[in-house]
Amino acid sequence: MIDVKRYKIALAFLLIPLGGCDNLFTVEAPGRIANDNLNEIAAFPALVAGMSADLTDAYDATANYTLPVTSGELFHSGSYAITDVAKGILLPEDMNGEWGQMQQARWVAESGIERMQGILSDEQFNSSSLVARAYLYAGLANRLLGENVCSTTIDGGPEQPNTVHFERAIEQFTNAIEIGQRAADPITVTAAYGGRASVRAWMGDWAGAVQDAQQVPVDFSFNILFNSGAGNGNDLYIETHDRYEFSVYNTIFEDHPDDPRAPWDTVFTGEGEVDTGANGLTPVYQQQKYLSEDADNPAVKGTGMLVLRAENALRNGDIGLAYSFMNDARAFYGMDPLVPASTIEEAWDDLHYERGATLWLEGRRLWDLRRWFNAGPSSPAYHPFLEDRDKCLPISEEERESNPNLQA
Amino acid sequence: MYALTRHRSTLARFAAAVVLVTLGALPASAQETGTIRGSAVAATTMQPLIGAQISIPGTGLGTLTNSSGEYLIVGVPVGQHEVHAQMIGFGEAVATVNVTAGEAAVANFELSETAIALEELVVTGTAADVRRKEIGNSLEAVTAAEIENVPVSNSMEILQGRAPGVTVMTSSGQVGAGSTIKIRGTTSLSQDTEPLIYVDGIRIFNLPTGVGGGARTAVSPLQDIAAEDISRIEIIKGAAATTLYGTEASAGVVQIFTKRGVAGEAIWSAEVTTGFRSQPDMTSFDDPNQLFTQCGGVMRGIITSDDEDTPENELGTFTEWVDPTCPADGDWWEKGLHQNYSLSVRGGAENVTYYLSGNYSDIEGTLPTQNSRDGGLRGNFSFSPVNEVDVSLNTSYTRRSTRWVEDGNNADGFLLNVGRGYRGYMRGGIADECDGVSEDLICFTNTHIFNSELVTLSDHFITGLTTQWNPTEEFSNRFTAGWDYYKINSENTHPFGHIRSPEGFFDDDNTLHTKLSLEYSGSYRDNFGENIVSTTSIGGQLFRDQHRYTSITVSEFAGPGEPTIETGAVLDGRGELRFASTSAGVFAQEQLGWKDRLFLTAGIRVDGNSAFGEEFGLQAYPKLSAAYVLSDYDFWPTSWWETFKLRAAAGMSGKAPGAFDRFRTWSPVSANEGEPGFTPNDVGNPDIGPERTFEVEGGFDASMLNGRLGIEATAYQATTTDALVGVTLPPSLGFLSSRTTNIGEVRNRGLEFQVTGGLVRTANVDWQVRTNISLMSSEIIDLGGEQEISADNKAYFKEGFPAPAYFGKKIMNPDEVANPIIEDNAEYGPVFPTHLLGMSTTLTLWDRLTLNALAEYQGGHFLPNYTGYQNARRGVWYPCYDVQQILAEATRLQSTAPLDEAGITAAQRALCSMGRVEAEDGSTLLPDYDSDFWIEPADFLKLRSVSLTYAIPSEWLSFTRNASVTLSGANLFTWSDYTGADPEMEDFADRSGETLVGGGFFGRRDYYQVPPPRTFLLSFRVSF
Repeated sequence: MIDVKRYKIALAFLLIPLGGCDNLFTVEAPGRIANDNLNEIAAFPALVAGMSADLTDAYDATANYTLPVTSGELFHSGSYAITDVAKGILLPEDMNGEWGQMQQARWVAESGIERMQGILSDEQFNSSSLVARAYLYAGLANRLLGENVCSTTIDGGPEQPNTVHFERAIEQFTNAIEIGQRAADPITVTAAYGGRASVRAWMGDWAGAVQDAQQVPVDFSFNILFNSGAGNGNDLYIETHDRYEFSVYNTIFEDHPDDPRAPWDTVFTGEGEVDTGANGLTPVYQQQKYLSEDADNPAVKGTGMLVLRAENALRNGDIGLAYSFMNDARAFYGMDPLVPASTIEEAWDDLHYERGATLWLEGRRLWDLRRWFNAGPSSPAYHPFLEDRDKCLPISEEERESNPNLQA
Repeated sequence: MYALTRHRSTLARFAAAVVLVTLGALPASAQETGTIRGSAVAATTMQPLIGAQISIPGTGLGTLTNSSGEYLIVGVPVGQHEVHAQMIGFGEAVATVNVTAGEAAVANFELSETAIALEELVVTGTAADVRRKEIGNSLEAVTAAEIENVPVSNSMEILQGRAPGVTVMTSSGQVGAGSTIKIRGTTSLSQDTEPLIYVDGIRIFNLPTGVGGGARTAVSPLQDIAAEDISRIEIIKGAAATTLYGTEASAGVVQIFTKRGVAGEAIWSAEVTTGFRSQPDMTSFDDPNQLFTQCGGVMRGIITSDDEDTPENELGTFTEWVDPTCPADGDWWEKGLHQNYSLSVRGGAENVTYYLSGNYSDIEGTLPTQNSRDGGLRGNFSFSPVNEVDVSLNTSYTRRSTRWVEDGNNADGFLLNVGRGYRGYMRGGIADECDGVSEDLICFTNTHIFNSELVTLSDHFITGLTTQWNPTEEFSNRFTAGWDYYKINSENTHPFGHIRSPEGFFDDDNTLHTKLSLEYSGSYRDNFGENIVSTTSIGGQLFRDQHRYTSITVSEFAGPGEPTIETGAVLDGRGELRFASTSAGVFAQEQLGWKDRLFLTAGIRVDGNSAFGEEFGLQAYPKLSAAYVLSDYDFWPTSWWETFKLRAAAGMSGKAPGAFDRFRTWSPVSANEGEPGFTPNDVGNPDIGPERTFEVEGGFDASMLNGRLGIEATAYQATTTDALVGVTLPPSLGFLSSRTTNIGEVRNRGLEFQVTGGLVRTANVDWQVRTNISLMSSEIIDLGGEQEISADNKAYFKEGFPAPAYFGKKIMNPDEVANPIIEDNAEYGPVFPTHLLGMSTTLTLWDRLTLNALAEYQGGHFLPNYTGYQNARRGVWYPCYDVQQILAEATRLQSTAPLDEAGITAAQRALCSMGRVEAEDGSTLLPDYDSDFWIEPADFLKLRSVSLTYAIPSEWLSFTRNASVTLSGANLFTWSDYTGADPEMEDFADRSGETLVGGGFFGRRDYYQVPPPRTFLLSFRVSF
């Protein structure tokens, strides 16, 4: 005889686990944000902050890692397998990280601007400080790309010269200035002037560049922001203070131990010997410009404008004016003035160093060396550092292999 | 027409039965009854068989023999009955008895051993319990008897080398480290390839989990099933067998059954094991062949130039170093004490049985501070409230604490530092540690490696309730509800004052995975006349996974003291990953049996999964199989060839995409020093669906020579279509993650053999051997237009090549005395073994002394030896010392003449390279170093274990039922040409984020992992 009551109790007991599970058949992914959620106006501050974060990542992958050893600002003293890069051999397969981060910073800013334009009214859009700041980030991302890549592609398109980034940057900085002025955002406006000054110069508009540079006070600095607590710490600090991967040893800055613009110290072991890098050989001459993972990279600064104007003066053959600008910059750092050189060649030599020291470890040196190398040996602006080295970052292997417009 | 009508009739009866189940009422009638009692013994030894299954077909009655090998079945209707006795490893026996009211009939059985028991019941991959003879696919089973005396501590070690087609790969020799399992190769190009794991019918979380911090290894949930508790493991391997498990099952299914109670008085079993672990010698000062684990004197290495600044006159000369913190015996390796204790009791009454166990182990590693301690409890209860119902409640809890030594590709790691000698990171010491060291020597203080603390604490709770209701002999139902709770916490601390991070850091990682399982299956069996039996089954499963991973790292403590998250001045990082997903499906299956010798099975599984794209809907996976027992024919020569079954199966199963693969998502990020922001995360593919693996297999099972010889052979081919492939999008489109897309096709083929032989079977000598051989190959058929897809660490998926294979720069003239000719992007070979060979033997003398041994060969695959690569270019790889001195001479002379004169081969020049040397004309005088050159064949043969057991005569210990003592050794010898520390190692943290949650990983590399030690154990086992 089957006990009916016992079966019913047993069945009810077995069904209990199904009760109260309202969301049983849904997929949940808390912590990730759906694409459509970014179309809310309330999300725009975070959208623009994200542009800043991606630009930080792009700087960290380039200015704080690859570019210093590529351009002789630091010497590879570590165990990372980037010896080709350190020797100036820049191959597509080694550029996936750098290329990806720079392009992501550009795309996030540019697509974010389009997203905001599609949601905001024209009046709101053209007077928004967030939009102005987004244009500034887009301009800086394009400047970073333009200064460092050999050639490029936009949004999976065909190959184009690197100058397309300068063209986009000029337009974006201009929009940042105009909208920033309407939004009464002087920091964005000043930074955009500084950004536009440099890209105008690179496009040959030195007069326009000087005009913009004059808008930037000498003590102004617009920084790429790092925050170790949020997981985007300054990698250059980590590689030079935690791991000893890069050293000032064997660079031109080794010869200027007291230059406050390019500060470094010798690291000693407990035995009092000069410590060696992660490769076990190279003396550790440790950069002291970035002293924590929270240290920020200047992207636009007044002293950078002064050396830009000094270069313009030299291009015009005005040695005295060039030294005047260089010495103004040195004075800002508490340094004695330089005695103007007697020849244009010596003046360019000084400018090569002064610009390098002023913008040390800010991701600008490779472009400067490329410009000066391309001037040719007959030019007083000529700089030979890149003679046997690659001069720019190639389109990455990932982009080459995945972009159908580059397959041909 | 008749058949169709009959089939409808069957379905109608089945439906009616289900309705009756729901209503909870079925009629029954009282009858006059008697009892049947008796015993079961082994025919050769006449020893009682415990747990033999006794059943009376047609009545639904049955039981298991008790601890004395006896049984009693009550309530047997009067009349004549056939009583069947079955036990794994033995052939079935049948007796006919006549039961009279109120009387006890007797049926005693002598069961003969058989190599392949076609009558044994199996459940994995089937809709209900079926006999092995009925299934059309191969099935491997490992029983408790096979592992009783061998030195294994968990289910992963049990599977090593014991089943064809199953590859178990360890990641570290540190005690407490888990392994990964791969069955029949790589069927997916992007998803995990770990088999599904069931424990007593409950699906549990099946993926290894990185332990976080600096140990760069993993733990596995399978470690938490104690070997002492395991009764049997069943393995089904491919889609042809796993169809009823649906989406997720294409990588196979492993089901573990733990021990259950047996009616009778309580039987206690206790085991005490002690011993030690030790590393084989890796270095000596006279012949430091690889790594500098000895440290009690002056060590020396070659000065190389893997950068540009080594003075040419120093190149190739020796530099020397010492370590004043070296242990007194001059070697970092220690002998680790091994202790393991277990106690269990099982027993029960007629309707209630129980199995309770507890175990504790405390095992020290072979390095200072390294150890693992775990303890577990298990309670398995079964009761039958009425004859037709069996309820089982199986619950276990395991807590494990492992202290690791930092290891692997980690600047704070053990083998990286001591192995690199003067190119390590623990240079200079703290305070006065290097006082007294000559200025001519470099001072290293590697003892600081052990100052960091990395502890993993895991809690694993598994519970499952299974109700089996067989209201009639024809109608059976099984309902299972289970819950798997798996929590892992890892804390990595560098205390204040640490040599490499003086202000300290603290990293806290937490992973919690829970899985809810609900399953129902029902079968209805019906006869179509005398010869045809129909079994119709339906069922359904629902699984709900919830996962949460959090991590936080802080640094810079104000001073000494216990570091906490709060006391770190700097927040270095934090992370979180959470998801919940559901998979549900139903299945239907029809099996027709003809004359109990031909069985045809057709089934279909229909699945939904919350990871599928919106338009994808439900997915159907069909199966078809046949089993034909030729040995049941009268013409079969059963006098010497007892059983022969042909089998064939074809079926499909799938693999779901990752939980986020369908969505375009953004991640929150902290920007501008504290503002919230968004950054691109998953690019998303709204059209994504599961990949589908279709497998065909065929083979036979044979047993002959009175059970002395058993042969199983299987050939299979599995083709995965719509394979999920991570398609790289142009980075200029903004998303740097790949888009998972259903575009690929991969094919796996293989042959599997298992031969079991009773070479000698006399009253005093019993000698059995078992050999299994697996030959596997895979090929990528289609990548959907992708030229290649990186599988990490030099491993790639490429059309026409194994999935995956290593590619890179390869020396084409390795043995020529010349500069190397190097081909770019050349194939090295498969990442995973293509040839497996497992050999085990058991020799028993006078029923007292038993010798067990197991050896395993894995071959056909490659492994990047990053340990060799990194050491060689740093001048601390002994086999390169002579070569590098000549390379230095060649560099100084700007000529390869010294190399040619010394007979230095192309391979030696490349492997021992100290950096590219340019000739005056800009050409390459000496080749550059490259890690590609260190991709090596990783074939190995290992003597996994040897054990010697002595069964103590009962008169010596009169209070016991039986007692034994076992002396065993594990991982005793390795034969391999691989030049790294061990050909099985893997830096697990190469896997994404050190925490694997779905998603496959394929590019293994050996990167300074501590190799597995030898283990020597003495066990005392007693039951009373």
